[in-house]
Amino acid sequence: MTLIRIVSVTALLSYIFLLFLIRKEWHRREVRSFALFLVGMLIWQLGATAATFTSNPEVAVWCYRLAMGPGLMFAVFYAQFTRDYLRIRKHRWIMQLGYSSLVVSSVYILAGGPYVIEGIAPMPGTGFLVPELGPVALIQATIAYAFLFYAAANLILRYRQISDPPARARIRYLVVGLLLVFFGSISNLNPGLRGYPIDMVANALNAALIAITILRLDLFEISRAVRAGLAYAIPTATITAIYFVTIYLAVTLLHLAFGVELILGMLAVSVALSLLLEPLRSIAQARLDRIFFRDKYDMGQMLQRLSRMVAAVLDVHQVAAMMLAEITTTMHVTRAVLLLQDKESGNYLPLAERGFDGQAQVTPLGGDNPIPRWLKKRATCLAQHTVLVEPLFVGLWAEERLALEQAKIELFVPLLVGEDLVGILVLGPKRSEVPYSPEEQLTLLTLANQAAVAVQNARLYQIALEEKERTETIVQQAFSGIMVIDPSMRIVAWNRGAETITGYASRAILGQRLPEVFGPELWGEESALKRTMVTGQTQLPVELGIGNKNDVRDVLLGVTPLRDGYLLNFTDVTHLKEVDRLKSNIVSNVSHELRTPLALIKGYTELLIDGYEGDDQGLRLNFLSIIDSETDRLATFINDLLDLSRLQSGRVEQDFELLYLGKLIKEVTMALEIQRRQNNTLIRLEIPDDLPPILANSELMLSMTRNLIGNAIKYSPDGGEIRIQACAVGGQFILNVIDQGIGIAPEDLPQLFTRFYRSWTARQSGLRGTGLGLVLVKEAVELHGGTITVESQMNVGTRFTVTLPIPSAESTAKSSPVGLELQGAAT
Amino acid sequence: MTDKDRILIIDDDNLMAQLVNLYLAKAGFEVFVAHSGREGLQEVDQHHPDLIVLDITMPEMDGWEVCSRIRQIDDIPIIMLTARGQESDKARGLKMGANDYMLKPFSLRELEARIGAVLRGSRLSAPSTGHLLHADEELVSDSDKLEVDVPGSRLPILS
Repeated sequence: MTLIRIVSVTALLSYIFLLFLIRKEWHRREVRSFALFLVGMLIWQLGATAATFTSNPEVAVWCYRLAMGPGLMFAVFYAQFTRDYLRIRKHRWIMQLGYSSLVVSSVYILAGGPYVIEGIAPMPGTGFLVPELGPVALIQATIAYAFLFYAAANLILRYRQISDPPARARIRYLVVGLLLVFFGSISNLNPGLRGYPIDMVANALNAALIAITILRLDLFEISRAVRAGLAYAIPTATITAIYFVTIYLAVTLLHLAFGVELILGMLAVSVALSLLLEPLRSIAQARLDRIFFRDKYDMGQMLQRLSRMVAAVLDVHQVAAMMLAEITTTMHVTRAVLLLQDKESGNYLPLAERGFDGQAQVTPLGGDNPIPRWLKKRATCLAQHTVLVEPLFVGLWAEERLALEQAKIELFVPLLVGEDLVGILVLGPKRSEVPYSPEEQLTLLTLANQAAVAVQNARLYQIALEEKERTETIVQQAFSGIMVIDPSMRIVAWNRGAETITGYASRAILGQRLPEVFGPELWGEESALKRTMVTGQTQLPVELGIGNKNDVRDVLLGVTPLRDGYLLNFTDVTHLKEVDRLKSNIVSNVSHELRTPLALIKGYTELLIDGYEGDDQGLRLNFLSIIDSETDRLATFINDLLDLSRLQSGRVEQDFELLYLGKLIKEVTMALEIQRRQNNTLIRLEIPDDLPPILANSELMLSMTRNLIGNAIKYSPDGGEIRIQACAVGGQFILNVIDQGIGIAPEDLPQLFTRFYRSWTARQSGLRGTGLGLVLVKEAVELHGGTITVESQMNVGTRFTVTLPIPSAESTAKSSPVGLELQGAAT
Repeated sequence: MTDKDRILIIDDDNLMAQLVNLYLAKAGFEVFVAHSGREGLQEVDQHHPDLIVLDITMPEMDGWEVCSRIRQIDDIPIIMLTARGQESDKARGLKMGANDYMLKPFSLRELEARIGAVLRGSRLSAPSTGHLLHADEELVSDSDKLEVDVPGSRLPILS
């Protein structure tokens, strides 16, 4: 009698305790359905318990109606719980069927319809009022059993599929509990057993099993406070019990042995016990702590490890990989991805992942996707079920939802730096399939924020590194010389341009002081560097020569003050200066060549006008011939100059025509007859009559031959012989002009065809010349695709050989040869 | 010393040297001609001219070098007579110690006038000390006071 009542009340209280345990997790679907199951059990238990306390048959019947009607709903709720817990989405109709049928029959039973409880009689022995069940009650019970079966089947099927030990253990406990409930209920079908509270005991045991599952196996994450309370209450209670029992025993034993109560002995025993039990207590406390708070310790350690690590590592990929490795191993997470914001697009792209092994990938999230927006706004973790219920995420496309489900994503953790969402840590379910507790979410959030800072640091470092590399490449590859010196004038940077310009390798130069390498033009009192040091202002480039290993280079040097040193930046202008020098040389040469004949013409004219000492007819004529020849010289020079500039403008080619060069040579020789006679030289022409024509510009050919033959006459000694040979060999027209003149020194040969250059022998001869004739010859020959070579021996003679291409027969046929009319050739 | 001022013409161009020679001879100078820089330096040593008419563009030793060599030992007035018309050449010539710079083509009359002017100027400012020292070791000149110290007596230059 009393026993049954105690069992009933205990079962009732255990359900209330379970409800208390799970109260914090009601926002989760499976916890809600579990709570409904507990409420059902509670109602059932309430009915059954109430029935044991009454002797009024009317009340007992109503109690049993309550238990049989809404009470039996617990079976459906339990089935619903297994579906939610195991995430079963198929066969929704089963549940709909269950709900509708049970609701209908429950209403019927509660409303007091017939065929539910057909009679009630006190049970012999106990005196409890036991009902006689009608067909409706039996149907109701059958449906309830069917759903218990269904729930059991769900659990067992899943149990066979999974391999994760904690998950299996949890399902095992649930199945055992369920079987207890099942068999307890079945005992009610036997009228002989109905009076005994077997079902109640079974239900109470089930409740205990579930409680164990919750507490030990994380069926649901219960509140930290409950665990903490248990963790401290259990060792304290145990120790206190041991304390009292020991003292009681000691007192009794002492009393038995000595027949006296030794108060002082008691004290000694209790002190000894306190001393002995205290370490025991701490050991037990530590054990329990580890049981209840194991994951907390692990996570604490993980946080510590990761914060140490992320502070030290500067590579984004490494940080990401280490973070994912830690999280997946410590928190037993199946899979994890770190998405990082792409700076350009603003999208979140996977940087590192773990545990996917080629399965469904996490697709990149756009910057405008609701998930990053939510994370940024709330700055907290986002669980997948929130994604499914929050109205904000209605905007997600069906495919995106599907992708999320397929990738089995459970939690999104924001990586925040201030307001900036730099990345998202995406986590799959834990191995235990238990949802992430608020504690874990908080840990992950802390971790993610640390990681965010680390990622940001690593990125900044990466950017800085890339920027540095880029700048270094630019500086290194610049053609300008770049040198950086520190305030003590020690060279700390030296680029390739500087190496090229100065010829000093950076290896040799770095670390040296400026005065050890360069002259005072770079660092002396007057230098741009000194001015910058004094004024702190940038000096615009100035031209100066800097000495180096081999020679002096002309550079443009500018100086810029840096934070700790100076930047010297120089460009090689040696070549430009050389060109500039050549140009001004040409200008001064031209001016010289124009002014000298003019001065003579003017001077002698003046002399003729003013008169002079020893005025006579002969001298006067002499002066006039000087004026005449200087005028010619001026004219020739101007002609040569114009020819040269015409050649350089490259517009001569259009004037090409077929030309008999042999004939032209003979005509030029005739035109130079006066000069030949003046110089008293012999000219021997060795030119066959049947030479083929060449394609050439007649004016240029004229000036070329006139220059060559004219030179030969000019520099030949009295009575010297000049041979002019022409022949056609192998498609080439070859012209030789050989004299017995003063010759050209070997060192002059390389520069013979340089403008205004006159060989030493020519200058020594006192003969006038402009230094343009041979330049013209060479330019003209090369324009026609020919070559010119010169051999010479001092005081023996010189031989110029000109080779010009003879055009093929067909191109010759196109235009008929043109006879050449010689214009007055004067030299 | 004769009363005629002695002019040395250094020019590699025969015709030019002849022209200047003819004109200056008629104008009453004693004229020497040298056809190269080296020859010119020898003439300076030998004849101690009162003034040099110097061409710049010459083979081997050009007018610049001749000028600087003369200035190392002497300050004989030098008139540069050249076809090099650039301003930088003119400035360079005057900086190197030339007293005047004339550009070809030139007027013979102007040349004569400039020679006269330079000679007057040089007589007013300073005697050619180096030359005199070269001539007589005991003779010391004081260009500031326009006096010459000859052992035993002190003579003003312009007397």
